[in-house]
Amino acid sequence: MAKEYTEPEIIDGLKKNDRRVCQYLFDTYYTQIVYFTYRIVEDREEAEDIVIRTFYSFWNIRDRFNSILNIKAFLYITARNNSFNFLKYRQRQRENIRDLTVQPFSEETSETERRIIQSDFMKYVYQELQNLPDKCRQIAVMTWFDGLNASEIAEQLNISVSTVTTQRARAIKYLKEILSDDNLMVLSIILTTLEYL
Amino acid sequence: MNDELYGLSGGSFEMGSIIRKYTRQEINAEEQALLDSWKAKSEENRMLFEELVHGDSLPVELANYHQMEVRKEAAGEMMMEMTFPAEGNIRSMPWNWKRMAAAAAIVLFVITGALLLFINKDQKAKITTQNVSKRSTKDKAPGRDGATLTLASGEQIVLDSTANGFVIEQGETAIVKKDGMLSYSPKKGGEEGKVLYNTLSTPRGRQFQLLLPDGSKLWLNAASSVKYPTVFAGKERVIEINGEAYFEVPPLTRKGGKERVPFIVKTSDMEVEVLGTEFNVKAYKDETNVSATLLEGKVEVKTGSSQALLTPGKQAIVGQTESTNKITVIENADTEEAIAWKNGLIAANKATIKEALMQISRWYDVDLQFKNEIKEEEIRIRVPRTASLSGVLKIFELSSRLRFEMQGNKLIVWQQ
Repeated sequence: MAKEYTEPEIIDGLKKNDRRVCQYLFDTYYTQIVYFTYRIVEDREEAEDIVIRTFYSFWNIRDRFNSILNIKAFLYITARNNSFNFLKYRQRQRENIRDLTVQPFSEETSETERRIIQSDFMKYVYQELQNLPDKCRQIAVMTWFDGLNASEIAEQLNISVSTVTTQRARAIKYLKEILSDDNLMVLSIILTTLEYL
Repeated sequence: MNDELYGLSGGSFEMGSIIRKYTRQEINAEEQALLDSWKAKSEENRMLFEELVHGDSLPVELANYHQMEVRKEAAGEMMMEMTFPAEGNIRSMPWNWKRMAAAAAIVLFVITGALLLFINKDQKAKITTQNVSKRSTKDKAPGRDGATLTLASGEQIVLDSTANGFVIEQGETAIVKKDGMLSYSPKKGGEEGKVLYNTLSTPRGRQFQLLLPDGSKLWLNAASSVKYPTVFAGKERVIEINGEAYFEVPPLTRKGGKERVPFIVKTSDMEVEVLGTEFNVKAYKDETNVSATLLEGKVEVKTGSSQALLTPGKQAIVGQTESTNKITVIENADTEEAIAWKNGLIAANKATIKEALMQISRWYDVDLQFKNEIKEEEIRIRVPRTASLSGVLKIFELSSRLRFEMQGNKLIVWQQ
């Protein structure tokens, strides 16, 4: 488990140009800001690029920040501005084409706030999914993806069949708790989210 | 206003966590008060709350989020290399577009490379779990964006392989493709000349979106086609469809007048007439019924012999086999389910098991064969359309008495 930094440690790390703090902030906020950016530019690779550049410019002016909230707000606002710049740039490239779907490339603060809320919300739900213990997750994948039955899983993992069934029941119970009551909805989530693990 | 937050309110950084606590029923009185006042602030806030708490899109959005998370490590390496360049490297470079593009290319390269590594690792791991090769030949990938455009001249353009950007001109209209959507824009100052007809069609395993010159937006499901004029000139906006499509139609007034221009969707068995609204039309030749489901506004449904007026939440069903073409109106239709496909889901309930199987057949491009008669049973299924076929079938098997077997491109179905 990577070290958790407290707010004073982070602010201190910024002053000292501590690369571990930089890495920590990136690991903590990257995905939710990519998700936020993606919802503006609707292009995942472009969103990733924008967020990498956002972190780069954040670190270049790191000594201006005095709180985590201040940092988060900067990251979101900069990613948003970079997104609008990108949309403008792409529109200029296409100007010779008449395109009816021209967007205004700006938005009300309240709209940005809603995007932030949604991105934060997704992060919390996703984190809860990740909290599924390793073995549990492994068994869930083998059951629902590889279509293996309990004895096949037991053989491969070199554990008893009853352990497999207990772990599987735990996985289902856990996921049911963190998501809706609808068991089927939960299963469908496992299938898509664990696809790449 | 707080300068440190660039004009954003501090509360917006807590609301995501508060809503999550609400869904887990861990919210305290103070947080509930904050949530209530935030919800009361605007209709948009309230809608976002509803979407996060009760919306259908969570599984799809989570899968999306996961794919971004998977690339975090590679992106982090790239960011760290830029921010802390190794000894001897140039410290910082001025940003201009050319450099930026080059950097973007490197980022993509690094990320793709990392992703390939991921995938390889994943596959190696899978090979050790026997029967995988057997399974992979049996499994099928989900459908994706793609369609064929047939121009007035009869010329066909396959949009799966066409790059984003300008496609072609048709009379006074420019056609542009962007990702999974085709847009028609009338040329400024162009004369309303001859009306030309285009057809957009999807095979099984493909879907596409269409933006018509009047601003109407249309989602075309798999194995469907739509025929439309490249410019709407007359008293009516008439298009024809086969298969399934979801429509968002803005109201239109005649040039220089107050007269509204109705939008009419024709299928072989019915006609749906609207002024401006959101609705779904399903008219597959291989299903027993055709249907129209209304989400907003008002529509009129007509067949040769009868007609019915729909208000939001209602669904009109017309039997294709009966010669009378009688319209049955369902008062409290499951509209969410009727448009689940458009929101990236395969949905099924007691009454729609068979229709869901037909959806699967169209989206995964497999032929269905029924071993016994499929009877209604109590189910409620929601699966993202991005899952592989085996994943979807697994869910159906776990939650119903349906069982499946793949033979070549044939999906054999029976009920236990």
